[in-house]
Amino acid sequence: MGKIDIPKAVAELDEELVIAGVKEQIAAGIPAVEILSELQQGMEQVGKLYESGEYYLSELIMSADVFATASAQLSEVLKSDGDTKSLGTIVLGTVKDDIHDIGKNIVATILNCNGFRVVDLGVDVPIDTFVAAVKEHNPQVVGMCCLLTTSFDIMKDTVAAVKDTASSAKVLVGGGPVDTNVAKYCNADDYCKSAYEAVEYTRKYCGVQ
Amino acid sequence: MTAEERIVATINLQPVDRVVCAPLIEQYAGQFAGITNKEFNWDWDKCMAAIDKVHTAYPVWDSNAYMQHIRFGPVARVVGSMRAKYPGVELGDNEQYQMIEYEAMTRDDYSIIREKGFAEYRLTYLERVFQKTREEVLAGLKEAARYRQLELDATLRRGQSATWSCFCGLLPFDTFSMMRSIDKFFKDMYQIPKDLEELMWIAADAVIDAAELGVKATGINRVFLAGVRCSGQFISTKNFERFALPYLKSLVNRLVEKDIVPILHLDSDWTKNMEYFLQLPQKKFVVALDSSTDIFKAYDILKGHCAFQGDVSAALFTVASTNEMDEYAKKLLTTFKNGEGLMYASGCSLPMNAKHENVKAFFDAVDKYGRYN
Repeated sequence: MGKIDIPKAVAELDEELVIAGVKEQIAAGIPAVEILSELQQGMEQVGKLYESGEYYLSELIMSADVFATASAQLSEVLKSDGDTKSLGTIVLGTVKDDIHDIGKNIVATILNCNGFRVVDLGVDVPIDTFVAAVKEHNPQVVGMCCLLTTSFDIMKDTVAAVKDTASSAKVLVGGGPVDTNVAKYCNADDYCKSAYEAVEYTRKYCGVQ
Repeated sequence: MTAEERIVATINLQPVDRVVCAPLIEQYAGQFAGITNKEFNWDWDKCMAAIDKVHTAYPVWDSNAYMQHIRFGPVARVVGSMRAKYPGVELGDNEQYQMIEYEAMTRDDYSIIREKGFAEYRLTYLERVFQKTREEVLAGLKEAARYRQLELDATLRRGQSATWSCFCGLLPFDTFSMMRSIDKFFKDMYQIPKDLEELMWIAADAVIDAAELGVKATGINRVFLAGVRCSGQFISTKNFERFALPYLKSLVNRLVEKDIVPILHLDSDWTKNMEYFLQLPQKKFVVALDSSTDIFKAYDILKGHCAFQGDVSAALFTVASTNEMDEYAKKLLTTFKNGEGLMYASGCSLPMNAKHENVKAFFDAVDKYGRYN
């Protein structure tokens, strides 16, 4: 470990210090995967602070931004080090006819920071695209969201189509007007009220302690 | 009681003959009347006729939480709160409009706000977001005021009260969050907090000005003031106390001093913040909840302090059974006793794709559980 405590700096959302720490470790010849691991340790601390009620969504978003900026410093080095391992795969998207992406992007970023491989299908995603992605990536989890109430039926059809692929993937749903009743209506496995709940369910379904 | 007497008494936490019924009907009206959402959002006469039709079917709807004048395509596409995709333009004829959030305001814009004030900056913002000239924006604002008056006239002609006179804006936290986009705004909150605090005070002044203008133009002293992202769902109590509460208190107090009643339209989950509303003047404001906040916990905390508007969820209108709707309405209407200030409503907008039978069950509940005489 270098002089700068990267996990602590991430947990304290100190972007300048995190970037300085990453540069310091690159210069010292520390392998990129180890530096990335320290960034992820910081994100784990952020998760614990969120669970304890000290941190909120704003801190999650800020920490994800710090993580993204810092890990961008590593991208070239990581390529030369080879692929990093992920804890599991989630296919994620906003369902067809709905173009809202704020919630989805937050979930994608936070899952990514927590070590999951996120296949982000974007917004207004047709059912066939979800199905094709499930077949191609064989994810443990499929996440869907919508902000429009008019998308509930499409979400229901998308859940059914994903389950028909014979994939064992669990389906999580979320978004502004979605609640447990809507999740039940769509036959989803779980409803995520917050981005962090999406992380928790993904951990559970990927068998991460 | 007249509809106006009923809403005034409700806000004052006085007994009424029956509960105020104030759902945000919005785009559902077009579907109920059998027209497309394109027609509803682009043809004013058809739009008003559709809303009339809902009222004719459900005359128990006595308070119009009206907002079509700012959703109406020719207005919303020039001076709306955000860029949006609209039915019949970028979307299919019977699709729901969709707001597009992006970084429309940059950090560089902060100097404009400091130098010229928020009202002037907003004109620049509208020019940029909607790709309009200053003349077109100013004409759009006049049109918005004209349609507001038409909608208000229609409301009063039906014998309804106007739930509010105008939209005077958002809490400054939300104004900046939506103009900047959520992630950029939160970064500002951590990286340039003092600048943000200063700028939000400037925006707060613009809210007061807008409220005064709206009340003066309409003669109705209730205004819509929204908050979303400064709730406990998004930020800590520490940040709430720094970046939201001072502005909330100042705005409410300044409005109350001018005899204006803010209807605080609180989307997202504010359950953790409800205690703070005890710091606002008693019987001088309304807490409007969208079903994300636990209204029954809010009731336990704020009972006797303020009136409530809410909070039948979108799910109850769209995917639940009529029995489930009835059960929730009964719980809501029997928990709040007469004189405890409930304005029975949808949580935020009534969904465009609500089941008609559930909407009927929603209105039927007024006579079943909400009559006191």
